[in-house]
Amino acid sequence: MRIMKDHDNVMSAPVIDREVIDELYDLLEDEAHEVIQGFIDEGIQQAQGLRGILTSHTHLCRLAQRLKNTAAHLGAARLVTACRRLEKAAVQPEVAGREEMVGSIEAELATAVTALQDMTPADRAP
Amino acid sequence: MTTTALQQDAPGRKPQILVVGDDRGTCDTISRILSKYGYAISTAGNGEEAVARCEQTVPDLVLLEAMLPDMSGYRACEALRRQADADVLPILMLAGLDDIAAVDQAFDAGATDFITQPINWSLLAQRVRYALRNRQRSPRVRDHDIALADITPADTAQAKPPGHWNIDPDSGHITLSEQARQLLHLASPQPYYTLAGMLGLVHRDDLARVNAALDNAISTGMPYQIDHRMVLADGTEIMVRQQGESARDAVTGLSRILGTIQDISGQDIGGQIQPQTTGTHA
Repeated sequence: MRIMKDHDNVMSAPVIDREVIDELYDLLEDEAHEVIQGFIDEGIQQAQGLRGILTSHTHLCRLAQRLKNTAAHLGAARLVTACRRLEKAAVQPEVAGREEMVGSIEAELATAVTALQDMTPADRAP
Repeated sequence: MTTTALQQDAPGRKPQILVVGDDRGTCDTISRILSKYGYAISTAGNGEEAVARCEQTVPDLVLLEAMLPDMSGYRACEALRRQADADVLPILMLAGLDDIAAVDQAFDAGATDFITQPINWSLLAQRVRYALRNRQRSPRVRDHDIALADITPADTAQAKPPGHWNIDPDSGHITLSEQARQLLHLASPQPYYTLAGMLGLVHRDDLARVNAALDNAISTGMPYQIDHRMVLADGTEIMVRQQGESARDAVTGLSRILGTIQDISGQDIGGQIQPQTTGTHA
């Protein structure tokens, strides 16, 4: 059996996994740009909601999970990691540390958005 | 009065798919991709709207997010199942890749199958096509004598609920849902089972086909469906339908193979009755 393993270490994950973006362009061609922008807008909106629900276990967990999925659909691997961390923390009773985690998500989101906006179809692998 | 998409049939009619969810980006992408494959898409932003729409017209298939703003996707799934004409409606639920409990809950609520999030866009249309093909296998649907694109007749109306499994190809470990464990008569729950142990239950005459399907899913990422025999620990032989697909973790880049297994013993599949508890494995 072939084992597909791109990164052994989470920290070595790329800001954006190009394969994910390429797949969207392959399937949607000209519409891909619009779809990617839609995911970016949704991700920004979701991230903006996090700080207001830091003490609500259920809502925080749900929103972190949704942002994680949005990030994954953009191939934003580091952002996925940051969201996953908050998602796990949100089901624990301790509230401490959540604000820093949200800060980390905001930073990773900003990095991912910049990277995505810097990408053009011409960057895509042939 | 409820009408079904089937009753609105006309030659060349596009299969109708209802996409239910409040993640706009996800729903929009699903709609765009499936439209390119020739499906007619409608959307509902929450469970209540989905149920109301299906009361008017039952689509050919529903894609349902597990997390919805009003009622949970599971409750929406149960409500859809209670509707007339919705007993053979394929309902595919979107569940998190790392949320095994959600997958179990989806099946308990009556979901036909699940699609993992993040969605593998390249495989989405295939998963939909498989589910539609299975729907067409219902005798009730077959009676309408229609032909949705690339669908063939058989029978799953009496199908027992599927169990699901999840293989880590790196370690060879398999986790099984409660239903899968019961189907295979595995008495005590284990944190994981081994791939070798599971393949040991496959009828020896079917083993090469099952291995080939699994290897192909791992190497190409393509989903598969295969019917084969299994020989349980007490010697009972059952016929199962197995579906699998590769799902890739966005962070680690590791792929897992996720799938379902369903006991189809005794069912009429394509005009052939499948063996039901037919003795022991030689």
